[in-house]
Amino acid sequence: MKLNDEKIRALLHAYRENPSAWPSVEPALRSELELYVYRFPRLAYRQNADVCSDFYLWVLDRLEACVAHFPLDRPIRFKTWWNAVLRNQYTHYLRAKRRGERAEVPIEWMEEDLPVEAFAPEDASFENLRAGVSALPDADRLLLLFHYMPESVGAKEIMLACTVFGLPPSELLAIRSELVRLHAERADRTRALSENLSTETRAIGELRAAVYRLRLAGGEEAEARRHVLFAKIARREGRKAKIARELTRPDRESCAQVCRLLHGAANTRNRLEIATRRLRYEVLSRGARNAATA
Amino acid sequence: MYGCGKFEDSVFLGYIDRSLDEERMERVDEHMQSCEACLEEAAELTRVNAAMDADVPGALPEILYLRVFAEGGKFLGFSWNGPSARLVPASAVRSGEAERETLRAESGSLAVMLRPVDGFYELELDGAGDGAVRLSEPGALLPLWQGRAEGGKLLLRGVSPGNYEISVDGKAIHLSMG
Repeated sequence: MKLNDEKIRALLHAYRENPSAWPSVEPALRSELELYVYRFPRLAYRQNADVCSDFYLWVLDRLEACVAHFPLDRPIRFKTWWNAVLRNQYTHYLRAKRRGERAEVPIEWMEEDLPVEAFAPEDASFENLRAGVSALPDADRLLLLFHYMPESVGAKEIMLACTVFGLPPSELLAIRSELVRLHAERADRTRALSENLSTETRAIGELRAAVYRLRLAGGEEAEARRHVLFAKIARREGRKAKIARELTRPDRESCAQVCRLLHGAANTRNRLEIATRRLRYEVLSRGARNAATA
Repeated sequence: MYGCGKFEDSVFLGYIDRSLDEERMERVDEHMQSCEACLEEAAELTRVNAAMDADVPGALPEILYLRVFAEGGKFLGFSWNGPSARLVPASAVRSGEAERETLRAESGSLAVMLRPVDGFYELELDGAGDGAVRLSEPGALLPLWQGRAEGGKLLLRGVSPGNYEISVDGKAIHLSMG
């Protein structure tokens, strides 16, 4: 989302010159910021529309106090500063809603954005995926986290990545920022593909069950019907493989960012493929172990 | 103050949006490699920045929106989005002693009445149509109460002071009762 830095600075400058002009500055400033404020919980913390409305009113009730201290004399983008203010306001807002509790600012529904099934089509679960990721060697884990789950890359991972990839924190933060932005822009598409993959998997399961029932029934008619179902299964398997390929196919822009970690597109592709295979093995073996225990 | 507080705010935020000169960037980088508190803060702020930079379409909701303010059994006023269908902050509250306000929409009108009774509130809706009515705390997954208005009228008794949201056929009514 964009903010008009120049216009906002001019409005804040007018307010700083004459604080009593707030009633005339406020409507213009509000119209510049209102959509940004409304969408903040959704984009930054994946919250629902109820929270967005409530937070919007919370911030606009305090707009003057929120914007009053912007350092006009420093060359900081208003947007960077405003994000920090909104992040603090969001924490205050949560604390006020849950009085007495420590305010946590969790990112909701993160697992919904992940193409979980692409890693383990038979027995996928977010828990297995998480456990599988943590069992990987450092370089593989970091590569996959940066590529598939950039939002979950925290301070510990960045510190480790400084050693593993030999890059300074500012460079790693910049790479992660680009990946988070691309990930957010692709989230809807990833979710839709992931849902389609689940639909195909479910339909194939139902068709297989029908084939099995027909085999038990026996007879010529059942045999002919089974052949029809086999053809349907083959078509659906083809569609499923295509969706899975699309989900796992590294997106060009994300790849360009991940390449900055390892220097070289071919090297990055190979390392990413090896890491994905290792993760698939970890997830599948975990799933099998869990099934055996159950 | 951000992180451990070693850098002043403008330097820290300059590092986040990469507007510092090379020498300063290197100095902050050096510190970040050994200070988890600062790196944690920088990681979170860059994540928020990046998420907000994403080009994801969206708009303000086109819903009717009313906010009712009451404190200690005294009715304070309404904040209403009006015909432009925009949310309005408390600073724009219309003062008034009336305990009744009517929302007018293209599909009809909805009257909201608020009465304090023995430390609780009675809330009456008139013109709610036959649609579903839901009373919930803001952001809660499950409603505190849900049902249908009979003949467009609904009376909720014994509503404790607090913040609520009532949704009536897509109209959002926010109640803020102290």
